[in-house]
Amino acid sequence: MVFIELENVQKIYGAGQAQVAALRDVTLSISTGEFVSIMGPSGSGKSTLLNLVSALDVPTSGSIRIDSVDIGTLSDDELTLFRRNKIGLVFQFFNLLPTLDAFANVLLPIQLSRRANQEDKDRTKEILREVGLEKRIHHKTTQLSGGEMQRVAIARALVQNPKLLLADEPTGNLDTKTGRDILQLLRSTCDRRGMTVVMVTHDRQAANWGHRLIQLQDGAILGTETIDPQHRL
Amino acid sequence: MDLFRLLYTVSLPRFREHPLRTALTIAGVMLGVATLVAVVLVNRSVVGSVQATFDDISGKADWQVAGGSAGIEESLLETLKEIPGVYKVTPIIQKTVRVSADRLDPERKTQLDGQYLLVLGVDFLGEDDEYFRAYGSQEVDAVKEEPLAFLNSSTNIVLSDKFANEYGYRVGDTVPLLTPSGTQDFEIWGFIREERIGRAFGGFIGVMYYQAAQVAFERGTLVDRFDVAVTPGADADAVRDAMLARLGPGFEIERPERRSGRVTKMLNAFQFALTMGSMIALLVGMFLIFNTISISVVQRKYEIGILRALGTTRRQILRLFTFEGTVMGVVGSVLGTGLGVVLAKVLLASVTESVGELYLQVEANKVHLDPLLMAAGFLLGIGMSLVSSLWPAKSATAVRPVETLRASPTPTMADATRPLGRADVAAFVLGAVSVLFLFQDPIWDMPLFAYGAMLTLTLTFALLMPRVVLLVHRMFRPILATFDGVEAQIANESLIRDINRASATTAALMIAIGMAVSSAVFITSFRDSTLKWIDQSVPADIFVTSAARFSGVKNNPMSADLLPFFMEIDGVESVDMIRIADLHFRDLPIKLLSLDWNVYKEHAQSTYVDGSFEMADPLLGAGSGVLIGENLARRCGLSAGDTVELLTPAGTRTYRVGGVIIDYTSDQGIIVMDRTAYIHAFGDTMVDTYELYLEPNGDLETIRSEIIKTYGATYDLFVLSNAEFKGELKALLNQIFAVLDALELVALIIALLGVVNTMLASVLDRVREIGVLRAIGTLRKQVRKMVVYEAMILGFASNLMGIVSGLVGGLVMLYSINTVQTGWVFPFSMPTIPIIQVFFLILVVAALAGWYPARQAARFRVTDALGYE
Ligand SMILES: Nc1ncnc2c1ncn2[C@@H]1O[C@H](COP(=O)(O)OP(=O)(O)O)[C@@H](O)[C@H]1O
Ligand SMILES: [Mg+2]
Repeated sequence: MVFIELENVQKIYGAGQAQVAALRDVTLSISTGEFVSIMGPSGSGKSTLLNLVSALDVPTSGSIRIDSVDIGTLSDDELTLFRRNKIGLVFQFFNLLPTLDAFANVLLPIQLSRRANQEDKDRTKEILREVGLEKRIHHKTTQLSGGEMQRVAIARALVQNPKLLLADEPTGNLDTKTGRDILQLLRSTCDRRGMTVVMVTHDRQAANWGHRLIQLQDGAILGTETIDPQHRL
Repeated sequence: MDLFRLLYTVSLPRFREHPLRTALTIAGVMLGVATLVAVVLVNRSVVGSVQATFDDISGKADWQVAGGSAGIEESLLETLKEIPGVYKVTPIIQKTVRVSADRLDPERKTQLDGQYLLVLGVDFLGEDDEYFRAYGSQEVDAVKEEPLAFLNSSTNIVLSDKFANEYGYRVGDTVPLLTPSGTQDFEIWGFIREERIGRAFGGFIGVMYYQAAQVAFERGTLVDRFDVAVTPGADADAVRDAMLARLGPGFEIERPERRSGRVTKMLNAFQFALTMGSMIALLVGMFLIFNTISISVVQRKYEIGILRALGTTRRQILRLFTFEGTVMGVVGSVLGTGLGVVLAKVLLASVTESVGELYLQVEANKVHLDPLLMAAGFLLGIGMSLVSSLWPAKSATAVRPVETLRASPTPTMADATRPLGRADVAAFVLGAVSVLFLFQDPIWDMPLFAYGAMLTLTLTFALLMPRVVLLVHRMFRPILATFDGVEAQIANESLIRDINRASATTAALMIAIGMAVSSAVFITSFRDSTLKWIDQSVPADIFVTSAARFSGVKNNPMSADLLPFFMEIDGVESVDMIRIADLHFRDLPIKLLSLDWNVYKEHAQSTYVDGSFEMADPLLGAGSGVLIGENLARRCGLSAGDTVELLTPAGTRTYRVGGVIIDYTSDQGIIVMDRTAYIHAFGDTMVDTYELYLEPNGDLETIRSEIIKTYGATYDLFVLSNAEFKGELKALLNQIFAVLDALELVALIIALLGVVNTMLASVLDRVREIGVLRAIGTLRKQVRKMVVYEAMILGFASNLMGIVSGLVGGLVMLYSINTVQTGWVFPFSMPTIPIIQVFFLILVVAALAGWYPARQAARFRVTDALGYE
């Protein structure tokens, strides 16, 4: 079943002379439960593509359907709610709230919509345990290592049980060993939940954790390849 | 690199980069400086106009001979003339009189409504008068040639040119003035040039023959004083001694400038309070500079690191940031001085009004632009900006060059268990200094140390602000956790991201709140005491005054001939006649209140602080005793049983103090005596207030309408019931404190600019964080809420400390400042309602101050914000 569908998507930044076509005519579909890696040189449009799929931005032309919703037609508030309920985001710089502890960071997406009840809190703890942070639940984010921060971020992305998880260079700020642990975690938890994952990376080893690799260049798809699980380290 | 180049290349772009922050800071300094400049200019103008009037009237007098406020016998003129060394002597009557505007045509009525005229009674006929004063008027010259016609009537007058030029009066026209026997039309015989005497009292001056003034204003054979000139070459002091020896004790012989000095000294306390209020506004403005430079230092750590790495010395960094603050201070002070002049014009009317109600009629309609005072306000603004940027600038020098190597700067999160720091030590030291100050004696009768204590206490509380912010943060944490929605929780957490910034902002707001609460404490205590006093000591059913709601500076004393009229009204049981005269007692300008003791003691129960009714009754009944107000007793160290010497027109008389009572008639002090004794000693039969006591069946409204029907118009009567009297008094108090309220408002506005500033910085510091919040599903509305809540928590913390500091400040005002300045001890009254009002007002306006930054935050484009460094 198709979960994400991009049809002739264009994204143009700026106007006039300063115009930059970050994406030109991208057509792409991603199935439910699929883990897609996206690679490409710097400036090729990876983040732009991910932002569009994250419903953080809307395309200049073309259409994007996620879970059968045409996000181009949504208002800012609708997009926000869509992100809140359907999408988990993981960033290169973790982007945790420095003022909150691990637990509060993970609970945050729930609290944005309602007052957290005991069940929510239990689930939060459960997810923190799942990402291997049962001993760090009430640590301030500043007291955590990079790998631990990224685990918190993954837990935050998972807490609303989204169908889609998007990650922009999730290992870009981690050493190789930690990066591998994180990818393994990402892959296993998403598989277990049947989530669709789109991950941007510039590291081939990291990309190999996916089912499929899409290569971008100059805002267009250069090629697609299915990844042989053998390559995974 | 020299400082100016650094400033140009490094600072200028920053000013431009944050135009709103720069503008808000400059606005804060501007408002602070403007308030101070306005207040000092107004004070200077009021004092200046009083002095100018005195100078213009005194002319060439070397000495002025007076016999107390009631006046001096005119017959003493001859005595004085005979004294060797006395070159010229002339009698003077001086009185401010209300223009009865109701009688005027509509246009003049609006122009002259509520206007007072300074009427001078002079001896046109005496040779000597000419020596003292020149009138510069053909008509006056003509009158001198042919005096008989002019002297024929008691209502002939010469006015200043102002009346001809501005109001179109002509010779032969009449002007209605209120006299003790009602409104009378005074015929204009001429005009004097609006210079010297003609410009005294703002040109609202009238000159009469003194004997005519005696008749018109029922002064009998009394005059107010004699102007004396000493024979050229003679020793003035020797002449004074000779006059004193000849006249005997009980006469005052003073230099004219000393008399004006004494009058203006009376204004000291009032003016000092205003100046202090404006200083607070300036102080609050300085917190804005402090805060802005602090924000700047935090946000530019990276830049500072680079500058340091490039070889900029610590000294240069210190100078750079100090200079940035000072530059804003200079711009703010320039604008503030200008605005201060404009503000002074607005303020002058209100202050003149208050001074007119409390102390004396002033006709100050021009702001005296004293360059020295303006320069002082200007320089103070700059100096204080420099000092307030010094501290944050110092923290900039602590940035090490290596800090540039680190990636994005992490916020300096406050540790909830913040160890004792320099601020706490400084707070402790300043607190101790404040206590020390509170135990110091006043200097020159002024509670300067107590004012100092107000300042040090304010700073003490300001230094404790980080503690309060943390306390509030911790207090709110569990409470907010139980709330729906996470916005308030996030707001509470981000509050302590930069504790210095939060503390400086809340400190400024706290000071403004503290000032409002202090004055609320003072006003409430003052008002409650006064109302309680009226209930006990001024229980009359109806108060009748002429030309003003109260007997005081502005009312027109009435003739005693009205007594039978009041007595004959149906339902009136008894009538008391109150006269409140000025009295010069032991160098204090106090009031001498006379009343009908037999009527008074039947109805009122004075509260005796010392002595008793049993002791006072026979003394006052016999006319040999007086009561004195507690404030005067305290200031002069008098108690029941002591004797006091009062100056009367016929010399000194001695009275025994029958008791010390609570009385709030005048902040300068009061002595009370029986009316018969007063008339006997002072020869003054006029009445300021007729106080009517009604029979049980007496109907207030019927009696009131009868009074108004009969004499309302001629006397411009105010007939108030006891409840109305109290209501008017409350209104008067509000009016008097209105200027102070305005100063509080300015301080509050400045502090709120600080809140806007801080919230803008807070939002700017968190662009990325807000981007993340938006990315994971935070609605714009929720982002706005977060920022607004944060501003409200700032407001709450300020409220908490502001109320505490305000209560402490109020106590200092009541018992350290007021007691010294007035001698009154008001029991403390809790201003519950004003405090609640202030509390909620602050929360609301803090939320409003957070609104613009909140909108900015909600507007960020999510993808941009996420990529923001
Ligand atoms: N907000 C923006 N405004 C203007 N140009 C942008 C913006 N974001 C990205 N671009 C441009 O679009 C192109 C693609 O950027 P991006 O998607 O970030 O590439 P990648 O993530 O692959 O490095 C680049 O040329 C970049 O400069
Ligand atoms: Mg990118």
